[in-house]
Amino acid sequence: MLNHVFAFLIVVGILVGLSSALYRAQTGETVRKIVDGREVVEKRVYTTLDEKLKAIAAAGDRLTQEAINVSGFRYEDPVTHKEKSGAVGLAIDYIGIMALWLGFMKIAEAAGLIQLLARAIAPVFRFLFPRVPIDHPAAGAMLMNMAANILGLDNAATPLGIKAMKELQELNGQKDTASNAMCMFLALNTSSLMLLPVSVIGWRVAAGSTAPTTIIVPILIATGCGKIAAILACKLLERLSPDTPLVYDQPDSRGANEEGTR
Amino acid sequence: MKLAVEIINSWIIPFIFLFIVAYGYARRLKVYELFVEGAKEGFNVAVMIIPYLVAILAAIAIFRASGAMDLLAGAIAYFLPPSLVPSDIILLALVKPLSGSAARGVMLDIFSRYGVDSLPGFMASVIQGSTETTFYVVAVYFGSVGIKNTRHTIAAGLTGEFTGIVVSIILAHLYFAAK
Repeated sequence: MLNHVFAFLIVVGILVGLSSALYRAQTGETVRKIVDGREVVEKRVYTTLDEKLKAIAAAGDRLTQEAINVSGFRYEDPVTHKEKSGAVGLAIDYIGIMALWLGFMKIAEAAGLIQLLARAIAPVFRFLFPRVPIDHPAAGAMLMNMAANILGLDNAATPLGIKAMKELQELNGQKDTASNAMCMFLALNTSSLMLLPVSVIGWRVAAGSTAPTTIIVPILIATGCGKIAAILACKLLERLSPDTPLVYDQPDSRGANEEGTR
Repeated sequence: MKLAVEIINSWIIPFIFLFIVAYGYARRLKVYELFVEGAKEGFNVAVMIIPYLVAILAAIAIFRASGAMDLLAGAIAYFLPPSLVPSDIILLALVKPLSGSAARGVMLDIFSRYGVDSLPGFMASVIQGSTETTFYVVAVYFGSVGIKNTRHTIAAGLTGEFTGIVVSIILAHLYFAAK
């Protein structure tokens, strides 16, 4: 599936970029810019052939630059002039946050805290992830990730989610293919689960809303419907392809001092 | 009320840290050694997701920068009356599964053009709050463990996403009809 999406985005993106560059070289284009914090719309018309060819070349450069920018470390957004992180920058930022959370998680795991939490909502877990033993660290890590999502702790949710994926991968007998449990976990994760949409409220306040919190209940309803749809879709679609085999090596007896798999 | 929420929000993480360490220490665990052992994995995980991040972010950047995204939104808007779904909302719904920061930009753009308390502003807020960046999450989570065959994950995730968006649009219309 990701193969189709990737190919579609790149092929269609570049073909559209080329045709629109050719088109706009003929008709002229409007360019949005931010100058001194204000948005300015600039109209450009190309009359001579030389100008047209240059405009077409510039469009290609912009496309290339954008792809390079988001792959790199940090870059300046060409429109807003704000500094943004590329893929490498994001990953570097993650190293520390990830280490911090995985460190605390290890203590919680060794202390038996996570298993305690997992047992508290065992019935729900058994429905969603029938093949994940409730005492396995995967159950606890998934629970912690969902708790972080519910509380809106964005920078905790990702490290905890990745931790859960690593634990699920230990149960997975086919290492390059997603198990049913992984698909369900991701489907739950890809529809938001926030209790208090703090960031949206914040943006509404900043935009001068007179009733910034009216969206809380609608968001909860929409989120709930999205979740139910995702779970149902997952339960139905998982019948289309066989689940991956389980690895049956002592899932419960993993001690606190065991090294990670990698 | 708002202040109380803010205080709880700011103290949740320190409290989690406190609870974990205090509980572990009380159980006579070697908390420092355990922490370091767990933290060691952080580097590998973060470095491992780089190729997956580059692939997904570059593909999305090309699709957006070329104008293909706006074209697609325009094509869908052609079939939906703007009184039902404003065209900018369609763009937001298309952008959200791909990129969180881009979606935030579209939402703020809608706020400034229609007003935050307008129907499109309300709709954009609800969509922004009830959907996730599906492709980013899938790429990072599966990338971190090296899974290539994602099976039905994206289809299930997008079903949830689509449902959330449709419900958001309906709720916004209900809210403004009742007002």
